[in-house]
Amino acid sequence: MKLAWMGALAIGLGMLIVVWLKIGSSQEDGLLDFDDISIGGDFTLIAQDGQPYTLSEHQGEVRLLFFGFTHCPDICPTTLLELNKVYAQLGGAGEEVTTLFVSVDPERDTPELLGDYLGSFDIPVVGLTCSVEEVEQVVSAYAGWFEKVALDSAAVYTMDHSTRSYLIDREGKVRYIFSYDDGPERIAHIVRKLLP
Amino acid sequence: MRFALLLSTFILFTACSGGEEDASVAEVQNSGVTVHEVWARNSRPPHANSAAFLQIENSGSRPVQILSASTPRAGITELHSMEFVDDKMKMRRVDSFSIAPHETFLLQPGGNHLMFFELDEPWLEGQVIPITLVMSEGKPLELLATVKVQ
Repeated sequence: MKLAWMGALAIGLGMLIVVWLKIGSSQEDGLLDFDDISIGGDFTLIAQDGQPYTLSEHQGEVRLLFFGFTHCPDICPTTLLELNKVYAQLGGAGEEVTTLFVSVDPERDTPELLGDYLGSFDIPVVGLTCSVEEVEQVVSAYAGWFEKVALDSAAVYTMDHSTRSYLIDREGKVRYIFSYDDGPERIAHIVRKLLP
Repeated sequence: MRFALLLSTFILFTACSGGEEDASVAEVQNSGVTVHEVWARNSRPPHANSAAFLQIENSGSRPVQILSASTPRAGITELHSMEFVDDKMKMRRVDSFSIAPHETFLLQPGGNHLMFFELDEPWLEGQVIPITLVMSEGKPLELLATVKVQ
């Protein structure tokens, strides 16, 4: 009797684990659809070459978008270095993926400065800037956040900002949102789902 | 003569090797503080700033503080904290870092760090940056941070 009870318990636990793993894996691995909560959308900002960059005019490219600023001492270079590892994992297929670095510090980040800074990272990245108001609209559309904070520091001020990265498909739709903690293996794994 | 030359070469080699090992570890006797894993991030033009990271272990029975840091390779050095609240990154200048007794305090990417402004010249991979930490107790810690791209 005791043996039968323990057997039933083991089967029940096993089923629970299978269901948990299935739900977990589908949440982790599947591309998502954000249409119903309206995250993302088209925008036009100024690229590092001084020309307008409109998201919808680059259909056919997979994009990885995140918000940062070039005076950022830590999080932004760390993210860019992590993306370097993502591209290394993607290999040749990574040529179809463009990273978009949207500056939340347009007062300091001119197109030229963005080009100089991002050029030192060996990845296909486009720096984007514009007026503070227009950047605010884009950040808001992507459910991001930033705030200028005065510092008693040589930095004069810093930009607090959200750290999520957005995977945008060839039609310009957000298909996944990565947290800062997601490592390059996981990002590459998800990005591959949009590549041939 | 040849033996003496070989011996002096060996001593020099050993001394240099020892120096390299010491580059990432520093100890201060009497204060019970040990620093490990010291490294600095390469600078990125056009900005003349950078950051450094380390682990500091307090094996003593009293808290100790890092009160300031400096290097001859930068005009200004600050202590910065980093806080994540939900998805929001907030960096602030702080007056000190406090290390509790029997605690290892981490300065690491995405977290607390030493911040350098007005670098004398770009910090390139492989360079060694001398850094002095002024502590609340004991002698200042003299560190050597190797510049890495990571």
